[in-house]
Amino acid sequence: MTQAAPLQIQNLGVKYGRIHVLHDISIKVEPGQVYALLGRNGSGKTSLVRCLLGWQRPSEGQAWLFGEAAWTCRHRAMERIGVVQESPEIPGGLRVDQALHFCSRLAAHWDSAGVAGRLERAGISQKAMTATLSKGQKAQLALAIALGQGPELLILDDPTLGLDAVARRAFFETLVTELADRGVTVLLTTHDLVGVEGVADRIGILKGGRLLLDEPVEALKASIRRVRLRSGPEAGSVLKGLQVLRVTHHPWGNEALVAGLDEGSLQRLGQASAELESLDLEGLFIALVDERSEVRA
Amino acid sequence: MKILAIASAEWLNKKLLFLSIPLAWLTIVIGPLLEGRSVSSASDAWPVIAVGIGFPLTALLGLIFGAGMFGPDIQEGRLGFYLAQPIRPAALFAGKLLGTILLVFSIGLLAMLPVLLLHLGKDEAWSALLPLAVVAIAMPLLGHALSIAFRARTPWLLLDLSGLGATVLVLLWFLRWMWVLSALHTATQSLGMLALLAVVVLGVAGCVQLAQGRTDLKLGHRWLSSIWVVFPVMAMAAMAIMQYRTLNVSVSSIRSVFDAAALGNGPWAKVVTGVEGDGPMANFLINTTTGKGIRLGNGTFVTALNGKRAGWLQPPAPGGARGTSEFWVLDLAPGGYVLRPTGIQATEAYGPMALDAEGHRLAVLEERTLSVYNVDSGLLLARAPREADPHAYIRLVFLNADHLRTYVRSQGGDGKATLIGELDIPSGRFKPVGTLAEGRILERNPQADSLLVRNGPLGSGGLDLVNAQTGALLTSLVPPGEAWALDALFLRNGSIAVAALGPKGLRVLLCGPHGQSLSVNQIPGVFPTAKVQTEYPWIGEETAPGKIQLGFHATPEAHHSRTVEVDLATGSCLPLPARIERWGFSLARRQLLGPGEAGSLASRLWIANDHGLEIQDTDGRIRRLTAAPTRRP
Repeated sequence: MTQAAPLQIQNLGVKYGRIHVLHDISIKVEPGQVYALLGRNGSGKTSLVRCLLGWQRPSEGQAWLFGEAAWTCRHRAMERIGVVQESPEIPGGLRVDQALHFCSRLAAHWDSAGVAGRLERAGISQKAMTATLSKGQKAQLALAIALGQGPELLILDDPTLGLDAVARRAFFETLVTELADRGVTVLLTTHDLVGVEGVADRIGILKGGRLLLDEPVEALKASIRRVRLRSGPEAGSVLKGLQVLRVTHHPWGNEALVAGLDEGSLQRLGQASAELESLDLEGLFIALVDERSEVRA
Repeated sequence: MKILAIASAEWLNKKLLFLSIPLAWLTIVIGPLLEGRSVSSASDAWPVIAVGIGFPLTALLGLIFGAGMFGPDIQEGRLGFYLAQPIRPAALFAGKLLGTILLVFSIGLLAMLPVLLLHLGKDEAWSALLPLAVVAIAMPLLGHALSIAFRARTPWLLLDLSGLGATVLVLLWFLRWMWVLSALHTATQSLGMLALLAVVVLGVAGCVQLAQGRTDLKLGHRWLSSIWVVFPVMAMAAMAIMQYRTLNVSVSSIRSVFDAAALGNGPWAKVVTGVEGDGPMANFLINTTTGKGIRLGNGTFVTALNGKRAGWLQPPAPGGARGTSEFWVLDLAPGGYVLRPTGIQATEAYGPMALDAEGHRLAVLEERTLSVYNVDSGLLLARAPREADPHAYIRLVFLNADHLRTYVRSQGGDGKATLIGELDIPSGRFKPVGTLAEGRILERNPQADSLLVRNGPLGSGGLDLVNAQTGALLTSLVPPGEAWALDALFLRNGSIAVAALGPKGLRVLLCGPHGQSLSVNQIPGVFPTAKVQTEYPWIGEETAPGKIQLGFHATPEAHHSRTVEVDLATGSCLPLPARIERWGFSLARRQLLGPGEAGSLASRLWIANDHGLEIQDTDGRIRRLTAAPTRRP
């Protein structure tokens, strides 16, 4: 018997009235995989996560958690899932220890010692009122709560949004440490491309409600190059036959994002005096979602 | 357990609100003192102020916290903390609701209970808990529903508001009918059930809204509305059914009968009775053919002699014009009835009125006027001024439609003056045509247009036969002092039967239509003593030509009356089944018949007694109408 994927989305669409915010999204995250879902503000990430968590009924398609429909079996799936939201709304009238006690009463498994250790490392007093915590501390508390349930799947919805650089780094360090300790599957939506680069196994990029790309990080970085071509009569013919993702026109010539380059292609581009550049995740993301460029594929 | 965990978190999250309790105590205790009251006067006011603060505080907090339970979190996308936990939405709703209810109930309770315990005692103080609990449950649910409905801003809000508006309209309609039928106490109970239904529907709607809508406010509101709208539909249907059931009654639901009177020449009879779940006393018209009845208002009731129309003056509704009553009319037919207001308004009129034989004209005695109205059009036909007599008890005897004459009996407070007069309707002139020296009318013989009148005070009075038109004495049947108690009846052939209990024992007299003595017979076995003489002998009905049903108490020790059939010519008695107990009533239609209607005399015998409401048909068979034995009033 094959193990159900911790997370699967098939042909999912979301409409708000007449506005289509997600179109035909299909994603599958295998056990132990860290999947980073990237996208600009308004690209539909949060709607996707809501559908995935069973907080919102998709207009089309379906989302599964551990092989069960997220909408109908959310409460059961949540025993195996930890969630950190972009603005963790822990009831402000509770102290940290009361919030932990509350969550421990609901969770199927609860690692009190682990949670206490994480909070201690993050410098959060359990007697503090949750309303008085800083954003970074709230994010750490939410992560501690999510991990305290011993989740098999961790869903992080832009958890570092609004955090300063130090808090962001601390958050991702905690995350990396935790992920190294266990084989937790992770779905992470974020703007923090630097933080995600060292963590993610696979990348999905949402743009305009559509999944633009869904690739393993290393393969993506290896296969995509930025190609700069000075103006010339042969520029168009040089790109012919290549998998061009985007083309941006500049006064000095054209800049293209090209995927699936092999040895022959690289040789041909070299002969045409094209400049080839490898991209980091941030560069890749910007190049792909930049509205000024022309989508070709 | 998860529900309790959420409830306790909700409680802890808002625990600072308990600081409002000392503030409430201060307001309760110091408030009256600041108004300059003395300490003892202020302490008397504390329970009232405590209730005046505790209930609104609970209601207000319930509404506010109910509105804040989910609405703002859903609208602002802040519900994730709870939805990220392994808990069903229904349990989440139940937990937060439970926490909110307990919180507001505790605050309301703690705010007022110390004062109530101190001043009212334990029992009375705790009796306030049930309504407080209802408020604490209902208001958060209402607040939640309102919060979702107004935040979602969907067209479904129109459905909510339409349903609410329709419910309010139907409620007002319902309350008006209940008032007309003097059944507001029944309505209170029914409305309590509807309020409970509203709370249940709100609870279900709120729960489903969260379960099906979750973070989608508009979808949630659609679910909320879809379920909430069930309430107006159910409430309107329930009120319509309640109104129908209040208006219509079956004899099988009658549990006790306190009085009964046949109505004219039709199948209807007025019954004063208790109906299960309908309060201790109510007036009904029962159709003796079908066993179905109609509820009447508790106002003074009149009937037309032909038995086809009845009506009553309905006292003003709460908040209505004080002292003004409206005449409602009930048109009766074998197959049904029509109940309607006539628009006839009368002031200070709670008893003195009459319908004519056909029920088309109504005469009403008001404080200083005698008015006659057309019932069909509601128009005033004539109004005659009367002398103000604050001590007079005024009663209308009947209205003669043929001659448009009104006979009025104006009996003074001491029971010694009776006036018979005539109102000329076109001119509005009232002319006294005769007087009775004293006494009260027992019986009227329409064939001879004569009246049987008790001619003295109770315990010593005799019995006279007088002219009904002029009040002139025709003959004295029983001279004063010869009877302590008596009863009389015009028989079908116009003769008069009299039962008189006096120093000589119990005697039955048979007199001719003009009062001539035909026979006098002693009833054996009656030993008059001080105890017995306080009991009335009574004549039930003419059971056969020359025979009457007679009830009496034989000895002081007799707890129940004996009932015999007396042959008036010979005085022989045949015991009848003791169906009529000492407190019971035997009622015939004889007093209501008009001229020419004597043929139906004694066609039925009405008995309201320990056996319930029964009818004796002309063949002698007794049919029981009520399902259970009646109870003593």
